[in-house]
Amino acid sequence: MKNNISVMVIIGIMFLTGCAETYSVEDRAIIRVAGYDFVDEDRLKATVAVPQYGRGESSGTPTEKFQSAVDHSVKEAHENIQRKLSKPISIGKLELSLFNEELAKNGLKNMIDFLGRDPIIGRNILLSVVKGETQGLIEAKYSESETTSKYITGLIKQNINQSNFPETNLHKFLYAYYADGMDPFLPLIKRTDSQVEIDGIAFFDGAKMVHSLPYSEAFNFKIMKQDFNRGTKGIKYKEEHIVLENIGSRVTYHVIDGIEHPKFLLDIKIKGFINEVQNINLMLNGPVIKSMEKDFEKSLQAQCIEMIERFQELKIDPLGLGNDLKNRREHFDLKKWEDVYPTVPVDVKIDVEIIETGITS
Amino acid sequence: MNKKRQSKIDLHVPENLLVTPFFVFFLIHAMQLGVGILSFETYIARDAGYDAWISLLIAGAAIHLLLWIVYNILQNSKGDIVSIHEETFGKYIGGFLSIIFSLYVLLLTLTVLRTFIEVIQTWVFPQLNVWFFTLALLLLIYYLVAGGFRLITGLCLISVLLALPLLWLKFFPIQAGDINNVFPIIDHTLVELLSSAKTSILGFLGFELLLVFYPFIKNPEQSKKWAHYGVFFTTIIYVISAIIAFIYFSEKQLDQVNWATISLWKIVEFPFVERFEFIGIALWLFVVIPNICLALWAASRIPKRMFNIRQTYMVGIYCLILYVATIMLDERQQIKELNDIANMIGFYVLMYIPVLFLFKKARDKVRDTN
Repeated sequence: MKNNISVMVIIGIMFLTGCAETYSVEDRAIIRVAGYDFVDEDRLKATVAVPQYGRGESSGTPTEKFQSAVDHSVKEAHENIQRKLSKPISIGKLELSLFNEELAKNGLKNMIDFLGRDPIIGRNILLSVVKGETQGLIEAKYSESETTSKYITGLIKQNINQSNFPETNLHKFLYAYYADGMDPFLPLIKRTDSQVEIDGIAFFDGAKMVHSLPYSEAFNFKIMKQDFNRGTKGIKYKEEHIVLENIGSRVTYHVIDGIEHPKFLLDIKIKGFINEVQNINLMLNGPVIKSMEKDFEKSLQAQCIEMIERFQELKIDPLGLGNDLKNRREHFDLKKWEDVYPTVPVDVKIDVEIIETGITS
Repeated sequence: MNKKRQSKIDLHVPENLLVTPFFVFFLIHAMQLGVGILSFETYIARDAGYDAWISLLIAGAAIHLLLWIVYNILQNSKGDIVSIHEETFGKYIGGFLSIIFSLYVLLLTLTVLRTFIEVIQTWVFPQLNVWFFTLALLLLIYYLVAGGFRLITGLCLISVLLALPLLWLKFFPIQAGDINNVFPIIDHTLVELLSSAKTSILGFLGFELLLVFYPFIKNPEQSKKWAHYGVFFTTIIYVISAIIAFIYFSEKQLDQVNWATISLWKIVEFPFVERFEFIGIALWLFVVIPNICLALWAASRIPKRMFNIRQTYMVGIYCLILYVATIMLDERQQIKELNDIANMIGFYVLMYIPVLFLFKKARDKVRDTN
């Protein structure tokens, strides 16, 4: 009796493997980058790059084929692309999703739903807004050694990890999109002839893009948004131009007073190296460095406060001040907060400490 | 199963079928931790927001109390739920209540089975052949349950040990999260906290099976502390999972997520595996199978005790019911309703435990004075 059952179980398990379809890599069109362009109020155009892997042992980058299709929703557009392909589409390896500026300004609601709902999509993928057409950006050839998706993903990732761009990915976007008192932001990229560059930061009010900042202000935004230890910032010092290399910036949000009349203080501490001074005659000694620190503090503070005031005018809250208030004071009321947000006093205190000045004095 | 038949009231389980008190820890814990933990964060946060972890503690404390009551009921009777019911309510009402209890446990089994298959359907294989998969799974389960109580106990032990390493993965969401989310602590009224505690208590369902397998414990007196440790361990795991989900998701975002724990696995990134949730779900089968087996064993044990029929027949009949029901329920909405119904009945069963206790106490008093 017992033996019979175990035989049955083993047979059952053997057949179980046949229950699901198997996919082999060669038989799928694996899409790593997808772009979406605005067509009209309720239609969008999807563009994907499909890598073509050769039969032989040829190493190097696969060539890519590009397809696009117009339809009402993302899934339908993908379906239309499928009509033009010999292999079924797989979006499990998607690592970059691009939207053109016009689409972003009209709202990314259905994109957000698609990316959040499909279990096959990873949470660490990058999203980005593109100035101009995404189709042209995806279809252009940039590098002999990299596919377009790898190129743009690398571009954004290294700017996040090594430079001035604040951290972003699908999870962070969804987090800010759904959170009370917080609005999302995305990188804004553009194509210039044979290359792509980060142009700035796109800010959203809910799902709609409403504002953008040039890349030169990304450093200021990043020191207010998160702790990090990379990035450079240049300012005018007297007649010269000096550059501070950030080696560790820490930001603390303080909420002052109660929920009725909240005040905020952003306490930012930056440690840095001076690594470029555009006047060889300037001696970097104690008093000079002290006054440099003062100048950095002053100019950074002014720029940061100005940026926050712009956010307040536009009623967007990419820093998540509302979210912070909600976490620190009881009885948070979203409606009330949205009313008071444009007039809430926000102060920024910056403390710059220049600890080294390089290997020449 | 090759036991001599015994009369109902005088229950004696041969020593070679008993388990040591220590294993009660795994039995209780494995039965409590099922599919609920994959999705409970969203539901408990609906009432009490991100204070819901306090509700979990309240619920855990309530379960400790109920567990104490269960032990009190059992200690004075030297039997299981069937004999207690018969002693307390007489042959017919008591028998009826026992059958209800058996069907309730079967319903729990169905909920776990169907919900887990739904998880596989939505996350891994949308085209899954449900009838075939369920058939294969139930064959396996039948085989395991037919192996008897000791085998199931061993399975519970394995499941706890296999699921523990998954806790390490919580490190990834901690890195990405913001601890400030759970503050300010206690920003909700007591009513909200309690109503969330009512929702969270459902994650602890399953310990009441002790009413069935109590006679299988050697020196049951000593098992008391292990049972409490088991409940405590469950509480801790729930609280940790909840807090980590709270710091990773924003409150409105969590509300959109159907299976928060699985979504947390999504961000786990290793160089050799891109989508960890597939591995997590596959591993979770080892948690779900002992859960189903233990419940099915308990459900089929009750009719066996009442009517003196062979337990394997009962297991077969119940498997058939499970099979048909699993195939009939094929929409998310129905599965959700199934969960809601099971939870509601589970809540009443928990409420029934103190009532049973009082009735039994009264009955014992009357008998003593006579």
